[in-house]
Amino acid sequence: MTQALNPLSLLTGESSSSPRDSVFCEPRSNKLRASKLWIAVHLPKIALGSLPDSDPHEPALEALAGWARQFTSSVSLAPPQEFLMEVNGSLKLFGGLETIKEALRAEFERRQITAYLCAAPTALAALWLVRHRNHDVRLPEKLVGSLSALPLSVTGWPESTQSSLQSMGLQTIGDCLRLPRDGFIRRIGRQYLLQLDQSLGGYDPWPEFRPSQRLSSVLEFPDEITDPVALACAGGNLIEDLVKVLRKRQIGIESFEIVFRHLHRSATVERIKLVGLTQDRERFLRLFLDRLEQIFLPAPVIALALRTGRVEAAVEHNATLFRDSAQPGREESIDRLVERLRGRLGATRIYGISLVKEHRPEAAWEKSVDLFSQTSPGAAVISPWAHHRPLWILPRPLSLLSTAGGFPRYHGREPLQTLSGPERIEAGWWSGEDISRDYYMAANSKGEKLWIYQNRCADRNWYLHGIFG
Amino acid sequence: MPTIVSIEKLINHPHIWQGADSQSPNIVHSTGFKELDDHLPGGGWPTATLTEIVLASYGIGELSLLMPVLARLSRPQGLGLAARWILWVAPPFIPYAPALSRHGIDLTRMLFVHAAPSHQDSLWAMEQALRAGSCAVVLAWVQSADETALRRLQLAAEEGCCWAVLFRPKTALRQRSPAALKLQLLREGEMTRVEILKCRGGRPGVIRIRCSDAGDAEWR
Repeated sequence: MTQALNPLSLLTGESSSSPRDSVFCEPRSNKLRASKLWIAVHLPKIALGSLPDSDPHEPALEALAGWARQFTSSVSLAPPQEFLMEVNGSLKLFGGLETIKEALRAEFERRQITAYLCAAPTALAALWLVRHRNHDVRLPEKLVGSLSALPLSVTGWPESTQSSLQSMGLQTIGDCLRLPRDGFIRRIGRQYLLQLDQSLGGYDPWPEFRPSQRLSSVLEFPDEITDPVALACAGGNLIEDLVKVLRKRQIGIESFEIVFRHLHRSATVERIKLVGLTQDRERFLRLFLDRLEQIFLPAPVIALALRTGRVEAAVEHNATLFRDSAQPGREESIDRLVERLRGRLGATRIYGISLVKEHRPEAAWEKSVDLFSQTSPGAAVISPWAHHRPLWILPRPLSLLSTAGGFPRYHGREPLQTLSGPERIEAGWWSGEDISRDYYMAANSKGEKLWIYQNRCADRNWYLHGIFG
Repeated sequence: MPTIVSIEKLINHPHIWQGADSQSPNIVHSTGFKELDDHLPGGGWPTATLTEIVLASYGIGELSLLMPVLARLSRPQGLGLAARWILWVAPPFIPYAPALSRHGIDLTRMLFVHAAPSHQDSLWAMEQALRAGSCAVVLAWVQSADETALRRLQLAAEEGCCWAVLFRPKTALRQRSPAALKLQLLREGEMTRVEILKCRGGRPGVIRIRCSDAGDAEWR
């Protein structure tokens, strides 16, 4: 901690250093104590999925990092393939660095996971060293020497940055350390200089990893159950218990699963997603009952289980005193309405629409499924021709039948009467979806006002594209 | 002994209910068409009730009729209140964003429930939205709905203080309806003929209005 608060001051403040100072300056005091010791664990073949014998929803890296918390409380993730553990405080208890590394190796061997370990006084140095399969560096004064030999590829900096460094003739981290600080900031970027400082002992915060918590409970029935009312009651009891725990711990959930277990067949799993973090019993219950009404259970149920998704600290809003009097109350209820509609009808069926700057009529709008991230209304992009646009548009243009004279007809035998037009729309040739059409407003004998077009290329057919509702 | 009471005194007695006075207990939304406002009780569309609109075909001005009121409802309502939502349930075609926007509608307040698997699902979605109280209007296109379903919608609309607009095919003309307002739309040349078949607190009648295909600039 002392080192974190008092980093090698000569490495941080470029204002105090003269322009000739190199990235790395000789420390004023060599009496730096190794107050931290980080082990970096590099897992080159780790899959994105979960480990075979653990929670199927927990990523493998998180599961292993969670396991490693038995050695130290300070574990940090460096996704996708690495995690870090600070073990200086644990060395005595577990009998030294080698013992801890042995225990880690034994666990990875048991799980048949390839892993590389390396220890260093700073987290970033440990990470860079392990990527180069280096040996441990325990003493801070050896750090500069060990890091200097590393190639630039270990830093994980963007390709463009690395190639521009290489074009300047810089191959290793040591080459970078010899550059002037202000020049390095100007040419490469401040964040990379900060990383070099971090690796050598500058202020180096890593967010502490906390394993995700999940709650689950099971209700086993004395007999096989088919009655939906009994299932609803059982689910209600599970939800009741869950809500008690959530309230007690002041936590909320964003999703949960209901598992219907059957005899001699695989369980039916229903996943229910909520909008936002909540601990609201009514919402859980309503979503559960809606879902129960919809699903088909292939066999009688012998047990009902409830598993929550990730659990997080919940912030409860104040309830409003007057219903619908204030804005937040309303916004909340539209969330819940959407949540319920999606719960029963499917997420993609509920959407908003927005304008797109595009001349092709069918591409001038788009669906937005993410409803509540919308910003200000897009009134600014109304096209000047939009007053000839119909309020209804067909999902795809409908080919129209023709009369004997070759005129288009729709809902009747008589040809359509054109009311206005043509409006020529030619666009999209740059994206390979080129159109060339003459649009007309037309009406049939029933008085239906239609938006039709004639293809100018190829078939010269007539199509119905919209309806003036 | 019978006493003689003047008719004025009788009428003002609080226990006597007067049809004419209770014409507009609700807030109404102006339709944007003067002829229609003049005819409807209270001078506009009734809110917190069910309105049925019967039409034989699309493209006869059925949406244009609602554009002025939808544009107003999609905008902030004053007093610092943001607009409530406008939900479309199972529209027969895609509501075209550029045209809606041209009519002055704020698209960020629109919500669509598309292609519900069955008309029961559509009715269910409509009822949920009406009760939730977060929508100003729920527009729905439903082929068949029995009287019980309509009554449920009417009750849900009252409960959630939300205007329910149900578009029905021509077969619904003969059906008994608990709706507060039932209209039939027909095209007459350039005009749209609005036949008021049933109107709570008002009277039936026929009104011809000219719906604009282009949006007017008033709300932009």
